Amino acid sequence: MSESNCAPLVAQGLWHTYEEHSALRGVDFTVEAGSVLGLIGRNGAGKSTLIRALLGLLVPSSGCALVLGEPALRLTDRIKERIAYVPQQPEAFPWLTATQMFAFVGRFFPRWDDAFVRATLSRWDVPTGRPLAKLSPGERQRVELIRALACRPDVLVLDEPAAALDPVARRDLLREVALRAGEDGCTVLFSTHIVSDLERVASQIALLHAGRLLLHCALDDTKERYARLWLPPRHAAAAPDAALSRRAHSDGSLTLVVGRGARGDWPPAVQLDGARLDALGLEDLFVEIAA
Amino acid sequence: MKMRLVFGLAWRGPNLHKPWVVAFAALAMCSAAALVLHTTRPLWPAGWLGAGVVLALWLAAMGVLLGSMVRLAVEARRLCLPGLERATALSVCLNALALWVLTAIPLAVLSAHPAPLTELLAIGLAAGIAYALLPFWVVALALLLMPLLQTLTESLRWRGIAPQDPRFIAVCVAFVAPAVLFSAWNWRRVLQHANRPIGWFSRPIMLSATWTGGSPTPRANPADGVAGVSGLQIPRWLQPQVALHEAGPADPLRALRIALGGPYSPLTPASTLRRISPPLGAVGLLALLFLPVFVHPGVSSKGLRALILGLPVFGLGIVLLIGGLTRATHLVRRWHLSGGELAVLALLPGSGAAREQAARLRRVLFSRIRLRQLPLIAATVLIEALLTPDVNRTLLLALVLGLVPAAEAAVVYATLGRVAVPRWGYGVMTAIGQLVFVGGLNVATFSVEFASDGLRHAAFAATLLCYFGFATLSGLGRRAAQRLPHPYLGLD
Repeated sequence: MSESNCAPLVAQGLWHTYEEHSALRGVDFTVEAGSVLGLIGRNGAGKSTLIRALLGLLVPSSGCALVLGEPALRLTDRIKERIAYVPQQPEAFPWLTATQMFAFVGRFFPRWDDAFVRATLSRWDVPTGRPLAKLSPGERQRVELIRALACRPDVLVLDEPAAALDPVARRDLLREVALRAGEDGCTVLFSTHIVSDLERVASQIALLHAGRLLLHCALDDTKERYARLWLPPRHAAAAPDAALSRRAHSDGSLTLVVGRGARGDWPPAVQLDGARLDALGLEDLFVEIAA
Repeated sequence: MKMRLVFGLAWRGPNLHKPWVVAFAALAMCSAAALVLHTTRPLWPAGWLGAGVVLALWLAAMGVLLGSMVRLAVEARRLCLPGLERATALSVCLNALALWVLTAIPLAVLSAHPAPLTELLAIGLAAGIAYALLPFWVVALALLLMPLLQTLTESLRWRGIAPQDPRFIAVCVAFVAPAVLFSAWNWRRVLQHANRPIGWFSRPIMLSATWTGGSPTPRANPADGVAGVSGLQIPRWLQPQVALHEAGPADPLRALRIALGGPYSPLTPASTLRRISPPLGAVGLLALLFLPVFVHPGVSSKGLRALILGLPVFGLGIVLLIGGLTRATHLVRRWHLSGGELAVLALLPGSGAAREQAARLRRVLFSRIRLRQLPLIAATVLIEALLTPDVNRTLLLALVLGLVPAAEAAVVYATLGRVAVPRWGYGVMTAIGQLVFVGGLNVATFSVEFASDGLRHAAFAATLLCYFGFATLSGLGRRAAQRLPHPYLGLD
């Protein structure tokens, strides 16, 4: 398979354990070229671990990851030129100023866009003369985002990029991400737990919960494909096994999140007498599954 | 406030993952050693003293752990939990008292020398707590002045008062009382700085260690504030100016040095000059301060000679130690940051294949040892050899100085190989290494008669044991690093 035909990011059976805690439990998924995938999950769901494993920044306990067809742990320079990553808490090169850091890092990337750096630094009002360690978390995050965008990547991976940004900077960032994906065909993977950000730019979503990927589909499909099913106590035993979440109430009734089957039909339990099926918005879906 | 909770606080704090296991393993080892020393007293009449020293060392280690509870008090101050803050201080006092009493009672019952033993234990405990809490500059100054005081007491014929001497109680009080007072004062000082960074020079040593608080995601050092880099708390004119020049794929070694930062950064000549001027000034000031000692009429000629010959060699040894510690700490800290340079380096194009990257990284990390430490060691040993024609002394000095590069190499290999050395493991390694290094250096440089046979043999044996430990760690790290797919994998 040629490099251009390869999926930008692939996870195959990824497991990872920190001491006694399993952060990833057999994650399989593929990020399609040109898509903007929003990875959503609660704090500690394993989003950062998954991203780090996808980029070869940690050795998973088992399974493997591929970046543009190459094993993530053994990337060649040719692939590295095409990817960019911003960690959740950027702390690199605190001894350099933003200007020094861009001058240094820019030399390694053939497609480095100096004009973009200058324009964005001024637009985002980032101080350029102070060491990065002396910038606020928001300013630091902006510097890292500029670094990632300036190398004109084909694959952009952002780990909670908006966490430290104010609403104006967050909108700017999301606009830039949408622009890159729309105009340059850049593939974007970004993790977040801010559902509104996801709705603004993502074309696909993946929901990670307790190290497991529970859902991965096009954003527009979520309303069509998933719903909340309430079953009265007398039908609790008939609840489908394949539910994404299951919550038992004190009166014996059950609330489940169910999805359509391969042929597009709901589970038979929705036809039961007294059963109720409700459509879910993205935020409700997230809360129902992750709560 | 429930006393049981207050007592238990010291054992549930962020210092240790399994504190009871560590404490009791140490107590078991120390008790076994003390028992052996005690039962072999027909062979060695001073065995009771050895037993006391061993247990005092254990109490010193426990004192370090108790003193580092100040971190919990700092967190409590930041979170506005005055109850927890007071309970932490009370827990340290109660546990210190309990440890001292529990260790002293059996010794006092079993031994014919209860008073000096309990005094020794108090000294050990107070020294441990003070070591954890006192500012770095006080500890550094104490280390520097220790041999000087020793030489002066020898020269002024104030021979050391042995523990069995009834006057030892005065020595004990003279040590323990200021240590306790200084520790209490520093506890308050650290808490007053809870919400603003303390410069590394006046920060307690235990606050300088990377503190993860048991979290899988390491945090910046709490004492560093937002910056996360202690070096940036220094005045603006002293801040390092990195010489970027054309560093990039064309000059990968220089680029890597810039990326690693801190003590590895290539600096501009002006910045280098500015940064070395304060230590040079301090050396000049120290020389001026010591001048009255040299001309003191009470100093015997032998003692003066030992002091004059020993001081530059000892000073160079301390410079070597500080350099090694600085680099090792910087490296471990950067390798713990998931959002630091490692992620950038791992994804930076133009750095070649993984094997090439690993070789380049080792070259940069070991270049500091090759280009700075080894010439400094050679020069120091040469000065010693020229000044004192004693082969044993020179050999011991060379071995002791060699501990610093050996320890640094062990830390480099362990870090690159992601060997899971726990934080307390590095703490123990640093404490033992410093003890052997400073003690050995002291024996090799300042002793008027080059120490007794027993002390000299002990210094040689302890040094060789340290080499064995460092070589084992290096071997483990080196083998583990060879199995890794690329060198920029952090310590999870």
